[in-house]
Amino acid sequence: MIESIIVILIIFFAAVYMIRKIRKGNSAACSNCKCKK
Amino acid sequence: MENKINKLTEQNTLTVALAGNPNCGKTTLFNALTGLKYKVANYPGVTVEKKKGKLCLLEFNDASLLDLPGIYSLVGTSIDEKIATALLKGELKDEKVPDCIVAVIDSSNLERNLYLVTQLIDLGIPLILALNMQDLAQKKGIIIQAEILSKLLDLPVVSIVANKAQGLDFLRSEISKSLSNKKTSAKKLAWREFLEAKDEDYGAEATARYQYISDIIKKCCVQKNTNNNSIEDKFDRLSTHKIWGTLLFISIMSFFFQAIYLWSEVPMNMIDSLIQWLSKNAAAMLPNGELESLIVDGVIAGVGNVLVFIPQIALLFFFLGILEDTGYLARAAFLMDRIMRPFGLQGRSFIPLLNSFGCAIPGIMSSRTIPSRADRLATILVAPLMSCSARLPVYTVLIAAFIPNEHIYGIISLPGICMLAMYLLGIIGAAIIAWALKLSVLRGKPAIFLMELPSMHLPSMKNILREVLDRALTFIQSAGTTILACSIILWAMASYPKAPADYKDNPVKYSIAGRIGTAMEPVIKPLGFNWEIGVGILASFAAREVFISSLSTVYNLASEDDDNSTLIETLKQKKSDGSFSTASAISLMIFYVFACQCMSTLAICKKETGSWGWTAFMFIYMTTLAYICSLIFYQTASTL
Repeated sequence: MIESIIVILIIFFAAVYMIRKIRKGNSAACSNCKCKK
Repeated sequence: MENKINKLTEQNTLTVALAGNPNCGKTTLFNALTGLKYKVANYPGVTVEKKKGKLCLLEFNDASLLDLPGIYSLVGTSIDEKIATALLKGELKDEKVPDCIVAVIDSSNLERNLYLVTQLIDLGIPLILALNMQDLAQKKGIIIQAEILSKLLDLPVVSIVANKAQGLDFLRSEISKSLSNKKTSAKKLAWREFLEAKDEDYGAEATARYQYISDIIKKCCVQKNTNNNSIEDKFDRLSTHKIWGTLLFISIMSFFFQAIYLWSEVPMNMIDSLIQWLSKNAAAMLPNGELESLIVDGVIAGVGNVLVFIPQIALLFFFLGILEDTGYLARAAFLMDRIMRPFGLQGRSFIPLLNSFGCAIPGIMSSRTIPSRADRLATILVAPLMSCSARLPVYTVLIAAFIPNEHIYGIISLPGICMLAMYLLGIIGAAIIAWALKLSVLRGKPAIFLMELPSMHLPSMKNILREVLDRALTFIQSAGTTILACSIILWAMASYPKAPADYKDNPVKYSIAGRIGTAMEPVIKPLGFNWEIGVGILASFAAREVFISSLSTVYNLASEDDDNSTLIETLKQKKSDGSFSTASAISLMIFYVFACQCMSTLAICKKETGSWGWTAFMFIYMTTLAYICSLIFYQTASTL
């Protein structure tokens, strides 16, 4: 039960993180770009 | 309200602007004065937008320093030049006129640099002359008497070597003095009188200014010896020669790609072993279940398989850094102008395109230096076809799994050749597309290419290693954020809903990801791709490296045993059992050469072109091109 809750929470936070990135407009955050610096 | 207060505070902050010709060391000085680490390189056009940093002065705590793109005069033609000239003239809405300007001068080329200075004097803003690259000037036998120059121009003149942080304290104190007394050069009036005697047209003005500068140089500058046949001159002639220059360029690039592939092997294997160890220990420590699968098959397989590529990324940027820092890049741009012209592009497009080998985003941004809109648009549209570093992991995995590690003539490695072929394919594709664009929607002859060749010098290892470290850390940061999040989401999509006990096929096929992949299969099957690759392609739209993590996750979840083999090993296994052919692998690499699998590239394209139309055009043409090329290759290879 606890294990399932942890898994659900991890997936939830990962999804929230990606949605926020996409909403920011620079979703993919190209790994090598320093344009935001 | 808070915004208004911030704006008011910003308006009251003292601003010092760094202005000067391209490649005179403004950003190096900016970094030295602010402690920031913006990119510097030995070619004109590295800085394409204004940058702000905090300037630490004893008397003024809240002064800020502006680094501006390089300009030759106050008449800007390209976008980057217009930003600088508008700011200096006070024509930018959000920026006030600077309180003081530091004109950075390349001491080895005083005459041309002083042209801008005469125009800056006319602006009536307190001005300081920073004579940079004094060491280089002395090597060329040029001695500038700063005191005489200061008297002649009625300006404070400071001798500095920005990259060695020499003379910076004196410059800081002169800036403080200028901000306090707000003294401007009295030569402004004298200059006006000088001009009034002449015609006021632009040509006459330029001639008059150069005459004025020539008189100044005669009084303050001593040229000791002029050796017109130095090693640098000889190298310039060789590197820009039609045949020898091209051969040299091809040799350098071939060596780099061979080296990237070969030299990275040992550190990559070490990281790989570490990840294997981590994976085994995590599997042993965690009880069997969902959490163990998420950590081992999702997080470690996903992120770990991408982290393996740090050595290759670091080597790529190390070599790019050497090319940039020595000054060879500018010579290559000059050489490329001749080659690119028949395709409708000009030498100025070369640097944005070469930057795109690192990442298309700074590449597209550096196209701001191109004055012609048609040339600039053509460059933006083809820049993502250059194989960026995010494609490197995809190529490496597929090459390692499918291309035999053999050597031609005992020296040239076949995987290295294959890697180079992928890069060349992108370049050829870009040339053809640019040619087609310039013949149709972006008609017009490419503008004349004028570029100043920077001095050649030994690369600064400190700068290059800092850049490499910076890029490697950014890559790790991306692996720990975006790729980690994508891997977790993909694991969830590839794990749920769970297949019923009597389900005989691959259990991942029953999941959401599996169903999406299966739905895509009829479209991608003619390219030699199965549903698993379909899932990877779709997921990698977030970032190309995600393809590796998604494929690792999908394969790990599908494998019944807990052997945690690497993606390369799994692919080799698939090759031997016939479920993934070499033709499919090459077709997949071709797809990645051309496909626009990057949301950030599309975002920057919209920003730089200001048009959704061109952004949509880029996405559609690249995806179509990728599909058609992969289709032709796979179908031809299958019939042979």
